[in-house]
Amino acid sequence: MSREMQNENTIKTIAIVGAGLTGWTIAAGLANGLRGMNVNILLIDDESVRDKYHATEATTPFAKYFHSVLGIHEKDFIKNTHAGYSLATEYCAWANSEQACCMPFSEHGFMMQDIEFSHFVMAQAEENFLQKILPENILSNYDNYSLSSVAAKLGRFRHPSQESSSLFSTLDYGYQIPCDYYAQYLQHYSISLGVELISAKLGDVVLSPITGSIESIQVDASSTEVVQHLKIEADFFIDGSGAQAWLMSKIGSDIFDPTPGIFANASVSIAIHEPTKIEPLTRLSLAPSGWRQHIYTPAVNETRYFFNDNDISYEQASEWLSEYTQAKSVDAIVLQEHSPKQRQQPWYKNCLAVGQSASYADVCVVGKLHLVQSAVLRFLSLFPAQCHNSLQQQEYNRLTCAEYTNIVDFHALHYQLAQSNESSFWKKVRASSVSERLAHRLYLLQARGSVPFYENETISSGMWSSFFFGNQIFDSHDSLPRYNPIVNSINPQWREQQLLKMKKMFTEAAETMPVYIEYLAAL
Amino acid sequence: MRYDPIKQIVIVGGGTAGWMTAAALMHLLNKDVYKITLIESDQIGTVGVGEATVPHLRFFNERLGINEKEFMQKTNATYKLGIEFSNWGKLGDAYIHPFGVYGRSINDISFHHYWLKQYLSGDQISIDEYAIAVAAAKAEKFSYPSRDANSLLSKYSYAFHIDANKYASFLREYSEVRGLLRIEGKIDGIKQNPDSGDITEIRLESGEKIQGDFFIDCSGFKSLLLGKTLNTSFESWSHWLPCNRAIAVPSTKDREPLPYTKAIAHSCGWQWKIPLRNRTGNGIVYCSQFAKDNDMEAQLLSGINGEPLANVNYLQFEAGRRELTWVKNCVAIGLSSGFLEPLESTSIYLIQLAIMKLVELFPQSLHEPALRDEFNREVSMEYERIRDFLILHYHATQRDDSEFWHYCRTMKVPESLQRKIDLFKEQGHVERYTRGMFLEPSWVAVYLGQGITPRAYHPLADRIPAEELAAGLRSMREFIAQAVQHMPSHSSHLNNDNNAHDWPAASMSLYGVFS
Repeated sequence: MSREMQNENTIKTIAIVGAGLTGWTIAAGLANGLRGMNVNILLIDDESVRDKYHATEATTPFAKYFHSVLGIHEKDFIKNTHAGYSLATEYCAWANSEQACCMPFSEHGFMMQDIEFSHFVMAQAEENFLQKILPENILSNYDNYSLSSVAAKLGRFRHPSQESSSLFSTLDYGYQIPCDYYAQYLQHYSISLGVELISAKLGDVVLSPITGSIESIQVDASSTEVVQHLKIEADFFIDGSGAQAWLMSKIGSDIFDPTPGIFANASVSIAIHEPTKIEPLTRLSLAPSGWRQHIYTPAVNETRYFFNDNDISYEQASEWLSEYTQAKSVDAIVLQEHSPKQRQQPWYKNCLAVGQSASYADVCVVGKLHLVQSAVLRFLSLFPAQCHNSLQQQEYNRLTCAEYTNIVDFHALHYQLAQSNESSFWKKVRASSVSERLAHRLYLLQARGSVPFYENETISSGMWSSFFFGNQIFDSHDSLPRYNPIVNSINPQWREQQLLKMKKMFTEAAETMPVYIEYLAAL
Repeated sequence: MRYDPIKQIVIVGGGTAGWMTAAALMHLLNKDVYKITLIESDQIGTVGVGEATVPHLRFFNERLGINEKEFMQKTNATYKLGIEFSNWGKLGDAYIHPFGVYGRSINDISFHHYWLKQYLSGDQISIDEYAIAVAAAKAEKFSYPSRDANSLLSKYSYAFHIDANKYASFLREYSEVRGLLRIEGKIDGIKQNPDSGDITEIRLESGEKIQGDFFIDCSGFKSLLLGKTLNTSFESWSHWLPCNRAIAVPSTKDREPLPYTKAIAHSCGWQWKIPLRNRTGNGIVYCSQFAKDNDMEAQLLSGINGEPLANVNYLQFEAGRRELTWVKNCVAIGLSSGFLEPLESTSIYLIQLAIMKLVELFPQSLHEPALRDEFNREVSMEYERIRDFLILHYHATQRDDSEFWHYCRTMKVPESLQRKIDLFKEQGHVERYTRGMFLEPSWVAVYLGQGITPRAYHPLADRIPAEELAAGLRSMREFIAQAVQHMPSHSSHLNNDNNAHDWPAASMSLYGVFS
């Protein structure tokens, strides 16, 4: 029995609205995932209806997986998009004013006797505290127990080894990507797989009077001199129009605040083309009334300033940022961002919201591109056999919601641990409350350095604890020791030697790695 | 000291739960720091019904450095590749829920969708033919899974049928050799700190007093500490899992042991058959509301092929769990924390899980509420997921031959289960989660085995051209059939005297030796 025989009511045409990076990511994912299924994919490009990105995007290792599903070869991708790699996120005086620290994508150290690595470091910290040894030698820089971090700080890079016995197998990385090049790249990919691009001015949306589903979109196509009125019909629609949620707003689907708390809700950014600084990491640091993010692709360097527009104006923010970057000729990009907000049903009737139309977010570390990539793959894994399939839809919405709340928790943890200044913004953040779930996470991290398990987590438990320990390790000795007492059955001298040995191994290994810029040039 | 460290740990009760806990703590905790005591009475019998295990037990044993072959000899163990369920979906039906997966996923679409596509188009070949563990079990064969993670022959795992009392004795010896203090005696009283409510002391009938900082309640159904002393309420699930009685009896071996457990449904419950090396464990589970004890005993005895080896043992229980399993300075492990019938051999697994979680969250001092909350959260998540899976066995049925089955078939199941069933019916999607004992292959086994056939399959399964799919499935079936043909028989594997350490590494998975 073929699909057509399964049911007449299958999806045969999908129309995507919004030809920005979001739209092309969706198109590319679907074009590949639905190969050989005789599904027409249309992408409607109206310049005023595109999801807006900054100049660059930083990703997690998930982007590698996304590319592997799409059959995109990394070398081809890197060459054509001028993207670079990222081994870690570096925090400059985020929660610890003393020092910077790196949060890698891979685990720190090694588990010993089935116990998480961080417990060994914490046990050593306790021991040193009791013996009144300064935390210098062995304990400072939790990130030195990670090859990815040490290499990132030294400006070194290589691909992870496939040999599990090699130290280099502990490396993992994401990308730093110039958005424009990447959107073009995915456009090329999509069109070669048969996606039809329609450049047009969007008009009215025709809804079914009975179900409220979308039947068609009226557009004015301007492919030639003549403006053509077209009615675009499809079985299924995807809203990739960004925060304006052009399609979703037509069918009416609610938005809610998934988390309490005060966040930055706006950003400005400055991009420098032909940069002088290319590093295999991204950087986060605190700023007056907000925070900064630096992304270093080989083609563009970008500095973004996230702030809350209740505290400072766009003009002030822009002024501050150009002063900070001392940039002379720059393109300043102003973006209206939003504090975490989410659509109750990102899949509503026969329309799916992906990207900023589903959830407002520019969450540090994960990035909004990630949410688009994971949404596309999730949609394919729940692809409905019939157009109207409410259970697949409910399941999609449940998973999307869980993914987002976990990510937002991690984002909110950044705010909670920030050793913030006295600006009114940070004062408000400190006074604000956190979700029950984040409170539990924080509670367990503080008590034990452990990360509670929740389903549909994007951030690995290694990253949660890395962020926590890297940023504010060994500061409070008024609390209980934060490690598993099982560690005490291990000889303390052996433990100390292992820790020293690990640090040494990682440093030595990192020093043998190629210099990042040379590695990129040799690709 | 900035805090009150825990130094004395008291385990109340022996049995499988008590001795597994004792062995794990003796192995992991520093004996210079902790004093671990176990109190048990020779006069109190253990339940020891859970003689069928799941593959996770291998992981527990491996962590404790236990030699698998020695363990098997000491516990009269046989291998177990799954459970055969007969008469569940309807009278005359049978399927095996294997410790392994079906086929192989293609383009990120699970195998059962491809099978479903063929099935819905009229191909009657059972999905069993694509599971090595099922094929091997039916042929009464056994061999270790392959160490090559890419091979189809690595996509299954195995567990054991054991004599649980012998396992407890084995772990008792293990613990005592490592310095555990065992105190013989019956408990007379329990003292609590009047301010905090923490348990401070156990008084024995002999007058002896045992003090402790931290207590582990392994007292079985009595739940002496968690239930009786700390008054933790019991959440009953009997409206979903109405069976509340069991009768157990061992019998002489009547044939070579099978490499799987049997769970045979009857008019108001089910019967088990657990093959050990030297005998067979038998039991009948039922709901007292629908059956008389005498009738059930007669039915049990008439279904035994060998000779009974002991008097029958009557058990009473109620499905459910304590709302919290770690309260104040007391953690309950085993039956004291809750009960789920042994339909899917979950009892020892739940003990193991609680021990592993306790070890992971072992407190430094008496008052660490974050650790306690996390423990309770994880244990209840696990309990509820297993509960839903068990309820499915009763609910997914066409049986209408008794009041009992009529009730089960028409009862309202938990919303979390109804959602999963509906989702599967629609187009074969199995709700995905990563934590928990039973994942996608198990749900597929029971859904399909008990007659829930989806209306459609994942549409993306159509990406594989029909001829290619048919050929691929055929060669997979042939490969499996041939592989099983070359496996040694279960008995010859059991009787092999080779003592080499040749068994594969263990993992916390039902489906393979790679996590």
